[in-house]
Amino acid sequence: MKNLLITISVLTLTMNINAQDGYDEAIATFLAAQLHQDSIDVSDFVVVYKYTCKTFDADNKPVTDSIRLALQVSNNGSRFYPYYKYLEDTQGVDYFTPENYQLVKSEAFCHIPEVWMDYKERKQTVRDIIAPNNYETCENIPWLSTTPAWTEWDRDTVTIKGYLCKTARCEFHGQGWTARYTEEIPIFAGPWKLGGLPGLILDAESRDGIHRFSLESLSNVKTTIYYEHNAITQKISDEKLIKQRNKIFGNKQYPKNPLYYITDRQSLNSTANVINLGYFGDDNEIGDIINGAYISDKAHVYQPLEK
Amino acid sequence: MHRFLFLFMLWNAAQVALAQVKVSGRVMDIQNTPICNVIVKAVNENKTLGFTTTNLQGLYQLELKETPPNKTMLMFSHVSYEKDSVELKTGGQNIKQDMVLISRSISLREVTIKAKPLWQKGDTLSLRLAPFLGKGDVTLEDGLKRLPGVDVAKNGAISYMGKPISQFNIEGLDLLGGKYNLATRNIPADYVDNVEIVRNHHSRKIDKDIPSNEVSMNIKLAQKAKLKPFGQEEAGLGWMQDGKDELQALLGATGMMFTDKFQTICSLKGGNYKDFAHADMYDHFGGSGISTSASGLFRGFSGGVPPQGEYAYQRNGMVSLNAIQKFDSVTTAKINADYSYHQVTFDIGQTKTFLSGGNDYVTITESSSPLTKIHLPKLSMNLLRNADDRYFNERFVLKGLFEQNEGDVLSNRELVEQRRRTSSFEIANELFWAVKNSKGVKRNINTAVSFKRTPTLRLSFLNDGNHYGQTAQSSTLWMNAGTSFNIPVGKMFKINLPVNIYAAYDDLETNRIPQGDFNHIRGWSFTPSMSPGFEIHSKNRKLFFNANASLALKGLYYNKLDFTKLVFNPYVGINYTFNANSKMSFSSRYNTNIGDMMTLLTSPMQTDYRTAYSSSGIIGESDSWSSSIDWKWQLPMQYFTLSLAVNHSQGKRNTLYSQQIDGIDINSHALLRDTRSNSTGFSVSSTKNFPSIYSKLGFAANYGFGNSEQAVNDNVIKIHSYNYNLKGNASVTPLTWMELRYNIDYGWSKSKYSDTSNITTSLSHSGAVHVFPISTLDISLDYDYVRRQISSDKYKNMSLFNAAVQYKLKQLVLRLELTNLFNQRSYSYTLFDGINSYTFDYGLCGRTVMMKATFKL
Repeated sequence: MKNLLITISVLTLTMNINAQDGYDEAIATFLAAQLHQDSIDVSDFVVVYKYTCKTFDADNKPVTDSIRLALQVSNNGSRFYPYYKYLEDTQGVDYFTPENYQLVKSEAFCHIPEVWMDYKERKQTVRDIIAPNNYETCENIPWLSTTPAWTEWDRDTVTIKGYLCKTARCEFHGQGWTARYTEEIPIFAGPWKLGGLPGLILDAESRDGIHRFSLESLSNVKTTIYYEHNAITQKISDEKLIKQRNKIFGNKQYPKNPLYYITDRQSLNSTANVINLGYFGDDNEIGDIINGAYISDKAHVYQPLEK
Repeated sequence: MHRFLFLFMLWNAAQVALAQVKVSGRVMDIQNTPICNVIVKAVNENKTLGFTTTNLQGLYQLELKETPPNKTMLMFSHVSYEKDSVELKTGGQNIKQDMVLISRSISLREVTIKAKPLWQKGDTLSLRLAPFLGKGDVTLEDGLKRLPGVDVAKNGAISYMGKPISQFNIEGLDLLGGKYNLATRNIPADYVDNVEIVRNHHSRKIDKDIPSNEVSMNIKLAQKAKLKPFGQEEAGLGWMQDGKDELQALLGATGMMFTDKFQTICSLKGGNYKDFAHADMYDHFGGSGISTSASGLFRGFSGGVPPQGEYAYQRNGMVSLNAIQKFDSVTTAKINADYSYHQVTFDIGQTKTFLSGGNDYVTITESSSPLTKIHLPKLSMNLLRNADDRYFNERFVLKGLFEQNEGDVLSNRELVEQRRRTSSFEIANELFWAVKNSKGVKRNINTAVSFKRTPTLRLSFLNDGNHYGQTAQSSTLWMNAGTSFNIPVGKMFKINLPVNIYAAYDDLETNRIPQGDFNHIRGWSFTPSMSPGFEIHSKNRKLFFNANASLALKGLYYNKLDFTKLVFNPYVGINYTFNANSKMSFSSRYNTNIGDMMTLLTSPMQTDYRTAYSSSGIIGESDSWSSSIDWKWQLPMQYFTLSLAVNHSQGKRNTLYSQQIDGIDINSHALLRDTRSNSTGFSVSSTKNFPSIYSKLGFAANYGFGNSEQAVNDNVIKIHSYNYNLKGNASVTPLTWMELRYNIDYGWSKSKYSDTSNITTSLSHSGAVHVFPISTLDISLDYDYVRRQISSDKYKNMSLFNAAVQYKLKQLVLRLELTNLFNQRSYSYTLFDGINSYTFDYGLCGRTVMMKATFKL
């Protein structure tokens, strides 16, 4: 086991209160949230996907959010999570710096959970944040049981970045998906929770055209796959998490006031589940950090991946 | 009926059960270990009938809806094992099929992220440097030259779409100010990830709501440049044919470190090969030298600079220490300490033809080898706090200038000795404080104080046994204090109220020896001013209109002079931003300039061996009105930029420049007479890059015309001038192993007075061929061809050829340079200033060979 001290650079709330006339008054002090990372496996290869989400900003103007996500794949399982965090884990790149503020902000707009797959146990662990709570679900990998039921898996062929791909379709948690997979890489994996085709999914697009995962890179690199433990994660069922997420983020108030559902923000300091509270930003704007999650002062309209 | 229906359903169910086929089995490796996650697929004629995967025990079960046709294959695949397949045995509902797979190492065909070479976010254009780099490029400057819209001049000055950059940052910090050659010529190109060009730049963030035409550049370093200190060492040895120093050498070391909080660049260089060390110390924002009243009056003896060729024999050295510490996201402290030494000499022959009245001309022929030695120490310290709502800038500068100049002239077969020696120093402090409250009201206070002194300046001349000369001393203490309020009224309107007080105390003495012509001016210049104005922003912030009316009370109180005048100067500016890529600016101003104490220097002063200068004693006044409009358009994603500009100015002065020609003696002074001038200019420039073939094309043209007046022996002459200039450049890579560069510059100018007109043309081409037999070896040949007009029907053609071989390794660059291959020794051209003509003939440095090694540390 490898224990790492992940230091998240945030400006403390206290410092900010002392500096009412501008965040720049405050010099960053650091709150450390001790997250234990278990190295659970070593990847055989790593796939980087670009995720795009077509939505609207708080003023109802159309915007397209995008982030990069990494899929570490081994014989025994996989981990799917933000690419900047992958770089942080594998190359020691500190991404919580003002220069990367826009990246962190984009991630907050995209609402993509982290997903671990254990092929041996056929279990899938999903971790998501609905500030101030960190939730975790652990259920059977759906495509190793019954769903998503891919259909028409032989239709159309297309070449993506040199890989010959076939097209397949499925319905998954209320959303229709079209995936392009390559049998040249015979593994059931794919981005997010998608998988179960006789080849790696290189591209997947929701039927409504809102969500899309597309291949950016693929490399034969051996990197440690970590599983993070922390004291604040709450176990929940997949169904409840989806319901909770859609209820909170789907509220009309959310884009204009992403923390609308937290009525007493000062009380967060005394909440047992909140161990990490502060601010993060660049020269132009600043947002809240709650338990390591960035929350901007304005959000974009939530587009659920699962309904 | 019900019974019949039941029997029918039962029969159907039986048929389905009979049609379904279950294929099951186990997949193991050759050690008999079960393999998990093997994809098992039933395929018939490329049609997938069904697929499944093996579990932890290597077991699988595949259900097929129909009895598989003949020749159905069962395929087993896994990323860690060789693929295998077997024909499916048909004839039953339960088929057993096991498989043994042989392991293999995983090696997928990699897909790499090709980051976009450029992207745009608001006013910031980010260009990834690597895709633009050529094989032979070594330094950041080499890379910058290839970026769309970016030009790098010979002295290292960077401009974007024709606009010189006003700030050069590395990782967001302004470490070097205008001395950015230190970075661009010493940071390896492969240590840079991105180059950010910020249009609408504001050095003060507090002003970012106001449109700006400034451009800045920010260099984003690669990760490897931020992990540890790095630098480069340079060493070279060479030989110059017939050189003042035949042995040529250079030695330099530059170290640098860039962390999130701290940056430093320290450099020590010296040599006598070209301007090796001096070039790094060039301050593109000015302010590296010292100009005092005395040194401005009596300049050194040199003869300009030829546009092509190495003409100067130089010895130069420098040491530069620069460091900046970032305390938080907005606060930095910076120190820059430099010392440079520059010795330069060259050979020049000049033929000057002056109109001496009527159609008579006086021609003076001179040749000289001016030698200049300059020591320049400088220390600068700066504390900066640059936040959105607060700005504080405190800057202290101390610098000295020690100069020796020898300019012996052979004039009409007589040798005249000219000497100049001077030393000056300056101490200055600037403070600027500004704050913006939550309602957007801005206020600022700024003060600046400077003391400049030239204790002694001495010119001495020896002509035909006659000793004569000139001495001067000057001291200037100037102070400036100002405050400004910027008050928003509603969302679209703002009122500005700047108030400023300028005061300067001068003490200037000049003494012409042995004539005893003496000037001693002492007194104050005092100017309080205010410039009330307003700004209007349109609702969509595309249109910005600002105007002000400056009111200044100009006071000159020197010796017995008591001059006070109220000056009114209005200004209007309009900016319209069509979109992020297209912007139009218009400005128009009326400007009144009042002369200074220099106009009181009525006793003659000897500025060179044959020129005595005196002022009229009349306080000069000039009024000018100038307007300009320019439009810039860029399509960054298409790598295309276009700039169009028009400007016009017209002015009126109450004095007229006059030349008195007497033999070969030239006296110039000002006449009390109104004079008018005007000029109009048009310019267009465009660049286009083709990144896929590593090519860049550029084009620029300008046309101008104007009128002015001058007096020769008290006769007033009206001069009309017209000129145009065409420039083109191309850098193309027709083959992967070849790179071609070509520049062409054609100029035409015509001046006309009375019945006389002069037309001069100039044409220069330069080009280079780079061949890369292997990617690390660059063999290049470059040439300059110049066709210059010497007289009305006489042209001089000249060609200069240089060659180089460069071998580039990861840590080492070896370069063999051969300069002036054919040993061309002179370069001539003629300039017209309206009525007089000046022909220059420069001696060029001889054939030179230099072997240089650059080590990356």
